[in-house]
Amino acid sequence: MRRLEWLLALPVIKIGWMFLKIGLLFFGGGYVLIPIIHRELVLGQHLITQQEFLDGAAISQLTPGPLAVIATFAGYKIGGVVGALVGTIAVFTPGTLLMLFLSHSYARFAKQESVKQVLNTLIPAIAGLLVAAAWILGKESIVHAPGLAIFALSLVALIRFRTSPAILIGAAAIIGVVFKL
Amino acid sequence: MKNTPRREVSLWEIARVFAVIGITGFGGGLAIIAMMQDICVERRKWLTLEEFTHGVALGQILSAFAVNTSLFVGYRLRGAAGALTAACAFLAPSVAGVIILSWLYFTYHHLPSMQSALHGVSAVVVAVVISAAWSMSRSRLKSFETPILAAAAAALMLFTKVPIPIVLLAAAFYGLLKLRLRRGGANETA
Repeated sequence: MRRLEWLLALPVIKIGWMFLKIGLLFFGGGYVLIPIIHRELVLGQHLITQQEFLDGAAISQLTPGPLAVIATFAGYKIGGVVGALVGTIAVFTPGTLLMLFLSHSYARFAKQESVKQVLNTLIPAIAGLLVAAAWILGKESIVHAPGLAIFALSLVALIRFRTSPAILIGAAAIIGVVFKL
Repeated sequence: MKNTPRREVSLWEIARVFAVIGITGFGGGLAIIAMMQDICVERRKWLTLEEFTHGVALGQILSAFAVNTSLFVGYRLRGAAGALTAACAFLAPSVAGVIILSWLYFTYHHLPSMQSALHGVSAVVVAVVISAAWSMSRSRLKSFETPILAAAAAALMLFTKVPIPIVLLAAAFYGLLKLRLRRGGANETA
């Protein structure tokens, strides 16, 4: 028992265990990780700051990988390159196992009435959590008119024109430097 | 679609193809799925369009669906080893990119020009989160329940300390309860 506690105190094990737990909730398009990681790492354990969280989300959107690679960023902050790798593997493990299982007998699941019904109530709840997370993040980071303008324009571009987030992030960074926001 | 004779695809080939998608697949979500479809279904004929569509549907239910679609395609080709090869090859370039960018970020983020750049970027991230909420719930807005459930979940997150897993479980449980009641009422057989 004592030996186990010592093991859990190791940073690498701690990161792995933490992201494994986060990974268990990793469904519904991956974006549900935003409220979960924010609450766990920023508000709960103060492992990364709110600003770092926002910047990490931006960095993860610059790559072709899913938003979940924010676990790579957070893992890097907590435990360097090893932390980044451990965090990434841990966050993907539960979903990967489930997907392997579902791939094996997929025809049965895709058509299940209960699966559809659960999604009908689960996805709106996830959307609500995302709006709440956006509110918490926006309240502190969008404080002046230029920020508000970038937010509004990005929203239109994303929804109406399906612009890639990476392009908007690049453009916003350039605007920030040029106008010294 | 005809029953195409499936030749054995090597793990190395799977790794190569998914690494290329993972390097060049900028544009996120659907753009990557379209690219996978083009390469795996149209060009290499690894699986039929119908099979692929099933995989995408499953992937959407679960987490980040480009990763899940990779797992699915890999699984169809070579079982669990193929699935892990495809997913790792797809993710590796992004993970490497994020590690390099994280290192740059934590080394230089105190510089004034980096601060200016990041100020504008935060606003985009907030917009990305809102647009994700919109795109996943838009098709369900016909139901009057959707905005109510979303508002309830948002209120729980903003004003209470109810853990997020509990909120999600409650929503899932409510869905099952409704199905149960409907089935009980109509007495239909599944």
